[in-house]
Amino acid sequence: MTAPDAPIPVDLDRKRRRFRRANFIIGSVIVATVILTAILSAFWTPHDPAAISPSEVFLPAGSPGHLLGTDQFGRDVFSQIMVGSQNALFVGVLAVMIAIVIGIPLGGLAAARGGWIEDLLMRISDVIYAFPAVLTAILFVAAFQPGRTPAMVAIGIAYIPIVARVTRGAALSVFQLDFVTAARSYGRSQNFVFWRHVVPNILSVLIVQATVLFALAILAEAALSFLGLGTQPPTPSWGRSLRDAQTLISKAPWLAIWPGLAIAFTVMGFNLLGDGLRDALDPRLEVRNS
Amino acid sequence: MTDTVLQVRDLVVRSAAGTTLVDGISFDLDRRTRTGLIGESGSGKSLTALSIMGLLPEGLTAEGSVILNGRDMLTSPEKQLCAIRGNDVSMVFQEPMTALNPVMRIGQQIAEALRFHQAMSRQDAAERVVDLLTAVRIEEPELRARAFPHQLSGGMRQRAMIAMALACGPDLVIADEPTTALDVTIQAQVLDVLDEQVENFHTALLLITHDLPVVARTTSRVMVMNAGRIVEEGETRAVFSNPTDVDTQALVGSVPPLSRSATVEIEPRQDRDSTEPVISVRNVSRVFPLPRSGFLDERRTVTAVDEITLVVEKGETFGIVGESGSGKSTLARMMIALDIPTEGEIVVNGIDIAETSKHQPLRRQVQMIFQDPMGSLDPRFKVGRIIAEPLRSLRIVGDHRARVTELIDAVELPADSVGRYPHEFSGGQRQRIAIARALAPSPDILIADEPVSALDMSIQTITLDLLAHLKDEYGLTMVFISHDLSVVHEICDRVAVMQRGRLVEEGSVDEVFLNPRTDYTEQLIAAIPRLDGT
Repeated sequence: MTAPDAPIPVDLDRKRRRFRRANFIIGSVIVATVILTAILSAFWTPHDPAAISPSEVFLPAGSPGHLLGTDQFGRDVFSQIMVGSQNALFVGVLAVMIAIVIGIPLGGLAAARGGWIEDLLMRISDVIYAFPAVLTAILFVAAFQPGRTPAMVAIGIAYIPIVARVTRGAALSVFQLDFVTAARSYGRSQNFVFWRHVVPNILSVLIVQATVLFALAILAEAALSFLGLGTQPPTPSWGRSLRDAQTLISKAPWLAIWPGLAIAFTVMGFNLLGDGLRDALDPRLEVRNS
Repeated sequence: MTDTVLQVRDLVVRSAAGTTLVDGISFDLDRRTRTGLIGESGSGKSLTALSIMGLLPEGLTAEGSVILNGRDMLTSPEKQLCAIRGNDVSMVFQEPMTALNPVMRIGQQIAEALRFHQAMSRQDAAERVVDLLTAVRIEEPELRARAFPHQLSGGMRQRAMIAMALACGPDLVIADEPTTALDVTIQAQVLDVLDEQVENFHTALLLITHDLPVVARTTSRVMVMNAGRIVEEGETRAVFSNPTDVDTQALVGSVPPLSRSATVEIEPRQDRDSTEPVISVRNVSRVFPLPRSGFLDERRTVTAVDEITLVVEKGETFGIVGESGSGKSTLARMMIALDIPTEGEIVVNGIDIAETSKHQPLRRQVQMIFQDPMGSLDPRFKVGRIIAEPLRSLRIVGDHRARVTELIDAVELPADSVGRYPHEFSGGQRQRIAIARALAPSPDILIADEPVSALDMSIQTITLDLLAHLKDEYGLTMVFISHDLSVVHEICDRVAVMQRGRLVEEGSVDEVFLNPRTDYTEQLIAAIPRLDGT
């Protein structure tokens, strides 16, 4: 009375994993599209994104030669969006690099040393953490000067505590493992142990964190540029396009819609990628497959 | 009504890749019988248990039939299985800390099954929980029912697990390595409780373990599994005293002599002529500060090692035994300068470990092997690199590649191991990699912290033989730390017994095991489960 090959009645886990897998694929496709667009736009765009054409102002989307229409100066919106992707990637890379290059060593130091060093570092990070990143950036550009680089340096600094905490948390559990003790027993320094044994083993966590911060940095840049504190003309920026479109919203709503969609699409892409990577890089699954 | 609780017929479990993991096994379990299921890891014994519970992990498929009280656990719908699990069949797991929910009180966890299966009121369930906890000999049951798992000791947690498994008066209890994570004296208590309760509840017990003496102590019938098949079954005493199958013979043969019977002949060991001290530990204490419980509270401390004095002589294997928390690992870590004594002095090969500047030269002479061969090898490094690490770190000149090849050969690993990652090896092989790494800088002293505890019995024997052989070949002095007295008995020349940080007894293995001077040592030795059931 038993049916051979009867499926074993388990698993919610599998569904979740399939869902994550879809996230990973969609996220990768979106991120790849953004990166390829950025590279392509460095060599070619349908029109010069800065070229003013008084005869073609406020063309709606779908107009011949202007896929997404034109703005109040007759500039091609599609070309601007394409070039804007360079800016988005630039700010993401800059902010995440700063956060990682400083955050990982600090987190590692806190985990390896413990004691008052850890307390001090974690309290400082609490203080920075207490200010929203965008607020920190506004204070920063107010003190120095508005602009893309200072704004993103500020965002990067604001993200240092996030990276440092994640690093510390993950590193603490790896520092407990016997292979770390073994390395100490044959004389390896804490420094060597952290970079060669601990970091490779927490890399997946860090990559996922970096992806999520990348998305956040793009959002932050858009917000700052919207306020006029971020990317300055003539560099094309999705956030600034939104600001420029603000006064024209009733006359030409597409000027706000397209850059808004570009931001949402890119941020979603990085978030989905991060979410998918979380599963793809999970070492427990590696073990199960082997 | 029949007394048969469980009927397993031609059970086959296959992995997604089509590998046969359990290969057509059949057996019956009757009410009130205690049956052991033994075999090495990977023999399919745990998968058999999971099939009975209807809890096989995803990707595995089962064929055949598993009839529990007339219902097939392989084909019944999940909803029906939920009603069966916990009520008709329940399980006791190896590690009660992870098997219990850490944020739920013990009493609530036990009551959950009662309220779900027997629709008991909250109050009735609470009363029943107290009865159950009393039955498993937990003192102050009302108080303990309100405790969280981490507030109980390991033995208490495991007894609480047993109470939970028995809560609904199941017809079958499956215990998967229920005492493996416990100290030997606690192990005996837990087995007694399990025994007693199975009797009281008229329950069938399936005891799954790789520990043969535990099976001998508890069960009347035993089934031996190997590579997915039942290779031998019969009355426990008969199977162990007279195994017919080669695999069973190998299993029984791998049990250390001390675990076979209480009246073991101890071979006299040859006296070593030299008595040259290589490690001398003088009045050593190690005190760890505990975190303050409140800002203004006084800082409390815990003394892990308490005024220990001992000497390890050149060329001997010195055993340190004790239960968990006795301070034996802390002492070992100090011998290799991974930790520094709070008080006292440790001199290794003439180097005082308090002198930090001498740590590098010290580490050329002393190396360590750890318990968990999975955790002691970095999963991201290839084996060749792992073994060469001490050579690089300690700046030992010479052809590292040749040395690695030589070591791989010495620990009897395949030559192509160099280019592979640790996860491609079995537990025993990984421990060999760790041994090769420890031998790389040609040390004089090897400190082995529970080197075989994580391994299967037969692999333990092979690994111990290898260690003994390498020790002779390289003229090593070995400090061997273990909670397993029978292993220490087999490999060591002298032994020190530790309890709560103190040294309670020290002497030659013969002296200590034949004429223990302290009650504690006597208890430890008496608690060892033995193959002849004594």
